[in-house]
Amino acid sequence: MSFDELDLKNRLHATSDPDFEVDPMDIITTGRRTIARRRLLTGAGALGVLAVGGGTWGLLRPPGDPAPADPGRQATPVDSPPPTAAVLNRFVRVDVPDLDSSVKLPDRVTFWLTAGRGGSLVAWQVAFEHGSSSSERPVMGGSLPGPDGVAWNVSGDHPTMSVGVVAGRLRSVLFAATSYDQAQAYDEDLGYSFFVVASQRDIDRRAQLWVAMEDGTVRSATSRVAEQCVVTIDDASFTVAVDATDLLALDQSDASASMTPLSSLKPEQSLILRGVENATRYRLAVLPEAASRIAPDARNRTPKGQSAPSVVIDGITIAARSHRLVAWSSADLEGGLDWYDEAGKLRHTH
Amino acid sequence: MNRSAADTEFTEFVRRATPSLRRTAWLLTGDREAAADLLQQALLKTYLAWHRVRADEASAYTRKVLANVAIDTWRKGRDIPVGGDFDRPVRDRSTSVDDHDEIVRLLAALPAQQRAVIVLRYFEDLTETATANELGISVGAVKSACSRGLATLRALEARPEGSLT
Repeated sequence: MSFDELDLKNRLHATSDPDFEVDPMDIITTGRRTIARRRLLTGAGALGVLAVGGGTWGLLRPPGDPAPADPGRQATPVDSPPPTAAVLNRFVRVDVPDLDSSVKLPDRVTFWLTAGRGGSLVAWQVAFEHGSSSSERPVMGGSLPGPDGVAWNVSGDHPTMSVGVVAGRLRSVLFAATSYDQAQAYDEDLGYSFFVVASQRDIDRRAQLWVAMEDGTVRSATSRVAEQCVVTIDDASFTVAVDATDLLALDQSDASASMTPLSSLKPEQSLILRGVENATRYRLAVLPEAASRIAPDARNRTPKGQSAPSVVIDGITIAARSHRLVAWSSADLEGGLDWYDEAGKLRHTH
Repeated sequence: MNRSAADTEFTEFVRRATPSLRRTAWLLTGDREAAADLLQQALLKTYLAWHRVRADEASAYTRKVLANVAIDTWRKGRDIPVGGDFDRPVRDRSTSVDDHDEIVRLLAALPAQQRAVIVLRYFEDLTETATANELGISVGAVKSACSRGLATLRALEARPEGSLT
């Protein structure tokens, strides 16, 4: 049987109703989160730079020049499982049930956080010291170290907080806010501080990252796009890559943190970009081919020996030039594709 | 308009427009689950743009998003299981439901843009010009897609039973 246009029209209209339901409240809830996240991420960019800059200053400030103790809230240590050396390279989640709760942490680590009320974290800063009980003056909000050892003080409504400590130095902090994670990690060997803002529960989980250099500068003023990277978040784990003065990959998908400077890669090494999760989300990781944490689902390896290799993941081209990721795209809720050139400039959006 | 009023208006729109839009989504995908995802995405985009979408144009806006997201998804090679509701190797014409939905199965064999053009032209009854505007393509491209799509559908229809998949 063949059919003409009228026949086709009739047959299309005669199809059965697929009979699935859409809950408008689901859409409204997701939409509100998206709007809130956009606003927060916009605002958090500037605040994050300030926080990282301040944090970096705190890290580098000479030991003989301690800042005066903050006269604000006094931390009251409470019983909670503190991170220890046994949790090297791992995040430890510590519940902070109420406003002004404090948790005692191992010696030689001091940090404080400042958070906005109402479920959205607006700014925070972390500092740490070795073998000292002096405190840092907060830029926004305040806290004091405990009488012995280390304490933190949280000003905000956020129920949980995760802290990872490596051998007496702060390695990473993951802050679980109502709808956002914020984290800072510092690696002495690499000399980088990371500031990560990531939505935690939205359907297209993302992170933004600013890089503070060891000399105390925050490379964001001249090339903002190159300083921040948007990736997706998978539950409590996330993968972050950034193109600043170098490309770094921070992969915590298996609950162990690792940071790989891509400058250590040889040109002929492949980049592996991992994971399309579904039609609207994907995770991105850039790891050396020889790294031990290549995911089992890694695919689309870049052919070796190419001067400007690129890979295509589910139709999305991601190009890497030499050691550096120069272009990648991310499909957001609106289905757009953002392309960045080698200088980190946004070249094309559609 | 405050947020509460806008949300109420949007909720009413979703309830009113869903029966028509979900059929369009199904014709565009051939798979109920993919159609539900597609419609969810389109409605979310509509919500995000609600402040600039006129109420009387909301259905048309969402339909436009539906068609374009379906095409974009196909272009990006993502895994929308087109035709997933019709995985049986042999067509079963023993029931009227299957007979009615056979056209969805045939549509699923078309490239996304041809499928979208066919759906907009012959299900949504849009003119060639309106279809071109919805999809952001030329009228000539609409004519071409229509012609090719119809030819393919006729060819598929003429095949022996069971050879479609």
